[in-house]
Amino acid sequence: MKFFRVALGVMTAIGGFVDIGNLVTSGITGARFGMALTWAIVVGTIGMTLYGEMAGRVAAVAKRPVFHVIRERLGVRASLVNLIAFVLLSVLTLAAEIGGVALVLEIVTGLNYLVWVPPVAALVWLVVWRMRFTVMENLFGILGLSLLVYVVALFVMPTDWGALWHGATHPWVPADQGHPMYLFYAVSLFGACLVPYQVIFFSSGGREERWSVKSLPEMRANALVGFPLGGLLSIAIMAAAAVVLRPEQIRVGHLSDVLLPIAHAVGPIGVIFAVVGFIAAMFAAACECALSIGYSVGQFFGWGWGKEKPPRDEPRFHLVCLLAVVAAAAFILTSLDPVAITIVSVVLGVAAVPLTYFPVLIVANDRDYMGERANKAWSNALATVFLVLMVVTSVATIPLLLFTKAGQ
Amino acid sequence: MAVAGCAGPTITDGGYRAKTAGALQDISSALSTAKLAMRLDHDGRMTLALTDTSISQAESDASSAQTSWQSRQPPSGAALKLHDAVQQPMQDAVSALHDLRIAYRSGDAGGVAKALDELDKASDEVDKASQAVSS
Repeated sequence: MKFFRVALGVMTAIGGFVDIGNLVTSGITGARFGMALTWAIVVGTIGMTLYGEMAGRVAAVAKRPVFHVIRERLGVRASLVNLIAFVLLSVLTLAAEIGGVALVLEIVTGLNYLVWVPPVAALVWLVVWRMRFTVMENLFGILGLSLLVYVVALFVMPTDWGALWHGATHPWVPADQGHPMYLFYAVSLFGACLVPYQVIFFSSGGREERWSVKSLPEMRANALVGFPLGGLLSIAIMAAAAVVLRPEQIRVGHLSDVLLPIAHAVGPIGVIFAVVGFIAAMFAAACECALSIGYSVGQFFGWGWGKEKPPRDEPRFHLVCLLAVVAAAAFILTSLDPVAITIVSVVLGVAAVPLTYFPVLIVANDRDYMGERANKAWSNALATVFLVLMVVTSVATIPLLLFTKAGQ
Repeated sequence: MAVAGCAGPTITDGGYRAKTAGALQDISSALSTAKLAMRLDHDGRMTLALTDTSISQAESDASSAQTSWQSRQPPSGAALKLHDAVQQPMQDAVSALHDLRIAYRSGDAGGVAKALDELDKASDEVDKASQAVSS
């Protein structure tokens, strides 16, 4: 039974790792750069795994979710700025996820995606409000595994594995792209792996599931196995785009473009699997994002929070989640392109990442809270290297965004 | 988003040439997308809705690249010559994609075949124009 629970958690983490950010950035970069940016996914996934494990450990041992920690360590004013940045960014991400689901429904039905935005947003709210936490997490996480069809596609096609491996291990900047564009998309892949809402959701979800020291092996399996396998899934999407779209000189600008390699390799059945995976991954991410906004605001103001608590008991938490969904739906209904919103949100996310991750590193080192479960020297060294990398990347993000006109 | 949507002024020949090359690349990508989608559709590897969406979006991308490029004033006589040389291939590409979408949606097999021929010709013209701009 325990093995089943751990396996379920790992599968959920794989499915939950991939959202519209990974789908879009992996598709775009595979078609434009081949495998030359694989390293950015590898680095981002290692960072997410490292800090995800740390945030999960803090939630299980110190029984503190991330935004409690942020407020305590940064003080009320600095953490209020952090909260505002996080909420704005997460609403942008939520808008992209809702828009992404609507775009896939357009591909399925032929009806314009804007028609689908209100019902998708309503369904997100309904799931946040009514569905049990574990059911939500497991159902969409496992449906998200349909995206493994990208791995299948690579084996079905006459893939030149040697060329893919060479591309991944010998990064180069294609002559027609230039260094700024290369770096911009490296940042976008990095950002897609390190989305702040995921770490907030992971640690707050841990509190929802009442993690304790006994839950550490399960939590570690989720983070140390599930996230890296999620990263591999992102690489598979990149590779499929590199194999099918790059030789045709197709630039990915739509979610439908990311489905073409599957149609090529597997046919209509594969497309159906990919569509189910797209919807599950983005819908789950939308729910997690809405919940993360509620979690962060609730934790900052010291309100009661939690999906398992009914709206009658915690109306403020549920109202914040509802307002976030309404704001995101209204934003996407302005008809801004969800794919463009995704690129901007993952890149801006990188700028905000150090503010979310730094307090986690501090508390994970605090022996008053963590006792013998505090960070070891090697994990501190690695986490510090990553923090420096995050700070450097966050400083470079805005100039790159402006210089490349968001990767155009 | 505003940053992504801005089309700034083009005041040098080099800048105009770069914008033209970028527009041609976008149109070439749209043509390739439509051709791949139709090839896969012909082989029975697509769903109807995915083919429809892919070719509609290809048309929209090509049209938007052409409109954005046309909104730029050529800064010199040489740039105006470039403009005149490139205008027709771009227009032909957008028209071919338009015809393909109409024929596909109306289930007109003959129309689709004709549009695919136009698409091939437009692709060749756009490739030639791209090479001329890059040289």
